[in-house]
Amino acid sequence: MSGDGEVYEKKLLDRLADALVDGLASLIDLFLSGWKERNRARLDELKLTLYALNRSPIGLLGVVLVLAFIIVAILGPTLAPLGYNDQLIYCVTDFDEVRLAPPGTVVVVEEDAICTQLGVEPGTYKLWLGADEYGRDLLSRILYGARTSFIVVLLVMIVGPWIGILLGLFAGYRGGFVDEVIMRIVDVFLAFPGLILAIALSAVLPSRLDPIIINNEFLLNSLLRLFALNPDDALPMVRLVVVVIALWIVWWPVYARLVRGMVLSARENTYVEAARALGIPTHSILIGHILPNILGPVLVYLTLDFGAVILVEAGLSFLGLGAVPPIADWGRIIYDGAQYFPNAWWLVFFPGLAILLTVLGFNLLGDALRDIMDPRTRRRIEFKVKGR
Amino acid sequence: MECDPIVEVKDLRVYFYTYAGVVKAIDGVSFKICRGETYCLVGETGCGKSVTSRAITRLIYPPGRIVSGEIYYYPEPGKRVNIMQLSESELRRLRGEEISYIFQDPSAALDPLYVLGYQVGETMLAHKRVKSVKEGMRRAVEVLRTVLMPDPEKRASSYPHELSGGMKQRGVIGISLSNNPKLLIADEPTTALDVTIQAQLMDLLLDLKRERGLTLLLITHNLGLVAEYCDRVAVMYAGNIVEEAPVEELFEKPLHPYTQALIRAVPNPTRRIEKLEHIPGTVPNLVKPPPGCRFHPRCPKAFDRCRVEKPPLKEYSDHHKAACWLYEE
Repeated sequence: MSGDGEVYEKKLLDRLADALVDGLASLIDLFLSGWKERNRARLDELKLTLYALNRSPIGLLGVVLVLAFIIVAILGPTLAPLGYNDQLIYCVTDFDEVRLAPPGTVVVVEEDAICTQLGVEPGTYKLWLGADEYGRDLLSRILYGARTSFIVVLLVMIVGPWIGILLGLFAGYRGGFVDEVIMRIVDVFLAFPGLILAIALSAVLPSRLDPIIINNEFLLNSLLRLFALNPDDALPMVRLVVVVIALWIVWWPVYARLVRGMVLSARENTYVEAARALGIPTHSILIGHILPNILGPVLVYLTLDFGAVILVEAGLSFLGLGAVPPIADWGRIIYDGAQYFPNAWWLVFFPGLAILLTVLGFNLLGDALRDIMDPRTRRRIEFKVKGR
Repeated sequence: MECDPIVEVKDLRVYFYTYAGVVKAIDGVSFKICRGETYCLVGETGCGKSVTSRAITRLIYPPGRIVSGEIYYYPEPGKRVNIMQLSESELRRLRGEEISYIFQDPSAALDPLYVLGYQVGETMLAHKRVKSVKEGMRRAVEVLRTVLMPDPEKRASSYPHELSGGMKQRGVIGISLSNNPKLLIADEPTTALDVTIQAQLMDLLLDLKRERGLTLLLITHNLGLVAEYCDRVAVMYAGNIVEEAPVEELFEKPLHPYTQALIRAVPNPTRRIEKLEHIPGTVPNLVKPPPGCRFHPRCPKAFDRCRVEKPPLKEYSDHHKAACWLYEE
């Protein structure tokens, strides 16, 4: 952070941000003429946001880590040299050569009937991060694991918090008895530690959910594609879906409380009262006027929470409740590798590092977002940029 | 002058159930607003004028509650709607379409996240005057033109922070009138504005009222506005109406000691004064209002009866009502 009197000098990154925003705006302008002019104020604000981000090295690190995670999650399965369940011990003559192979081992896979049946192409593979007890490439498994975490987090975050946000909106706006009932339910949920409740739910839910998902062809296929899994692994995948649903149930109460508190103050705004007095329907007031006005802090909290979900999901898998073999999941890889620790340290170290960097990335990004959304930080930067 | 009522309120009581106790904000208020007139509610802060106006369309939310009372709305002469028995959706239709509001602070009454045109359009959409927000935003320009908004095309796509106070209040008036209501309730519409804008906006309101045959309920604590714009006035004190009279009558012959004190408290700009007149004491605590007449602790003319018995609002001369024991004899 530079001092207050100093004039803000545009850095390379700022120019890059300018170019990026202007370029995108011009592109949209090509299709919708006049768009750029109409949204000039918004584009300027967007640039300010990017400048503010540029001034925070920690925030930038967060952005880089999160972007890296997302890119790996999307492209990982395509980039992985081997499949997540390609067991090389069946492809070599001396299986001690690949069993728990240390990082950097080179394996030559020859033309072999069993091996081809398993889907491993013949060739030379370098196991950059080593292999586990079945000779599965750790790097490939971590890349696939990124996809698993990403999809779980995405599915949890698309639904879980929004249950809480909607209930919180409703409770806060209605007040009185409705509020009392919803908030007492929230209290009950918050009284349990979230992880314990998630453990209990992941143990109870499968028997009911398994048939529902397995029998629904469309759902099953789309989920398999999302998680980038082989069709044979449908049943293990259902376990992941169970984790998602368990986390939906655990994840909403905090949001309900957070949002309710903000609604209590937002609903006192005259424009909310004016909207009521003009006969605007309740749902429009809630979704159109109250929610957008409180969304900033909620989004910051959501970002911070992405890391928390990754951690809890890995934790559940580590406890043997989430992903089951052969699914590649960071928590599960650590769980399976732990028995060979410290000899095969790479089985614990690399997936642990992946979890650490991802969670760190989301936390840093969330912190930076909070600073950026703070109007005081924003104005300070705005003055400096304009006073140039 | 025969009164053709548009709104009739009988013995309204609104209580607020707070931790400190039950606040009897409105305690037995009755009045009638005649079609086409400008009816004023005056009184100091916290006397219940705003709560009364909101209660007309049951805009009272917990911890507040309308404890008792009857509220009737007459959409046309002879047709009576009992507002207390309307369902939530009928009430919603009533608000904005029949009875509309303008609030005190225009910068707070507009949602900072939407352009003015959207907010006009949204209100029209809520009452099905337009089919989409987009159409509403187009129609918003016409609406803004009727409230004499300068450069309405541009202002329709301006955010509230880009508008001046006067423009915002014009916008708010536009939103309120976009559904052609019959009764407009203006709750201190000019308090947040400076005097020149105040005069412009009051003139605008009166012009619109004349053009559209509106009825106006004006809530204010500014006696100057009352003298200038009102037809009939009700003076409120601590949740009661203490006096109601045609405006000239009220200023010439105020009956209630509170009204007299209020009028005395307005400084005369043409004369130099040593000390501003004021009413001794403070507004009573409405959790535990004083027994009898609520004004008696501050009333210079109070006598024994005032401390025990609450005076009813009674007509003492033509259309001039007061709630005071002084005139019982």
